[in-house]
Amino acid sequence: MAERKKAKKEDIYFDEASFLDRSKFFLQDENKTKEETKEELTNLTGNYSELLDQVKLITRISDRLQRKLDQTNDALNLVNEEIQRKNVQLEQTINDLAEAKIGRRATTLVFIFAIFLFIVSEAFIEPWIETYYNNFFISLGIKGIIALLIKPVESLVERTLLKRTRARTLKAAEIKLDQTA
Amino acid sequence: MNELILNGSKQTPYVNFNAQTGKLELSGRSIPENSFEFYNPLLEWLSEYSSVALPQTDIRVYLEYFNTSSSKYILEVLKRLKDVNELEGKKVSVEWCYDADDDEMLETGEDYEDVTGLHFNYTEIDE
Repeated sequence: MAERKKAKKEDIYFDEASFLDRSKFFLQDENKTKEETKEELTNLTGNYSELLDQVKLITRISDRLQRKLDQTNDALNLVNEEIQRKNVQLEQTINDLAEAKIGRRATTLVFIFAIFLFIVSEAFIEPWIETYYNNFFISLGIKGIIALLIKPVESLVERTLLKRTRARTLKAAEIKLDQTA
Repeated sequence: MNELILNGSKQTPYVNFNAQTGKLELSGRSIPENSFEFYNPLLEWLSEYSSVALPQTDIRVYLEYFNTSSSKYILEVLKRLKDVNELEGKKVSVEWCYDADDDEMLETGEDYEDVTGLHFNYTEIDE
């Protein structure tokens, strides 16, 4: 059995340890009278009884506080789960909004690009085809290619803008985190 | 006799022991790193107070949370007050406050009342 350390005044059970030390010291002396022994035993019993009351009380309180902590922990976990769920929803909404905004911007850019191509086609390509080939189907084919290119170009512009916006948002979030840390 | 006032912190409760008015208060959270260091001045103050105690001493305890070692020292504080209560012509009453949704703290107060034999009044605090 491990030897008990000598009680220090800072010990939470200093008084109780002192009572025990006193009783141990008493036991070492074999010349005590019956009355003295009875008195010591009465003291020891009283102290033991008080200590038992304290242990019962402190155990009950500790169990109760433990239960309270567990309940608080459960409540926190629930709140945490809810926050995480809301975060996912918020992230999704922000992404949807960003995509919608970028989609509109991409459509505008592609529309401008299409107008530019139409002007180029009408002003330079069309006269050039009429001069060298004078073929209606070649002219129609080129216009068709331009029209078919619009959708892939729009997707490409949208993807590029989205990537750039995400990178910018991440960088802003990192800077914000660095500032709060 | 001097007042004992200790400002509360995240780990230690607010303490205001006033010997002139006989009003004592202990409130907040009690999870000190060293319970002895925190509570010993309170116990020493109470020992001194017992010799100059007013006929009526009121202690208000409103603790949100406390750790195991604090529970032992709170018992010691109440025991010192019980000693005062046992002096002739001296009376101590304990107002044990607890949050409306904190039944555990109410039960804890009841346990302290059982062990100390002091008279407790319970006050529910609406948050």
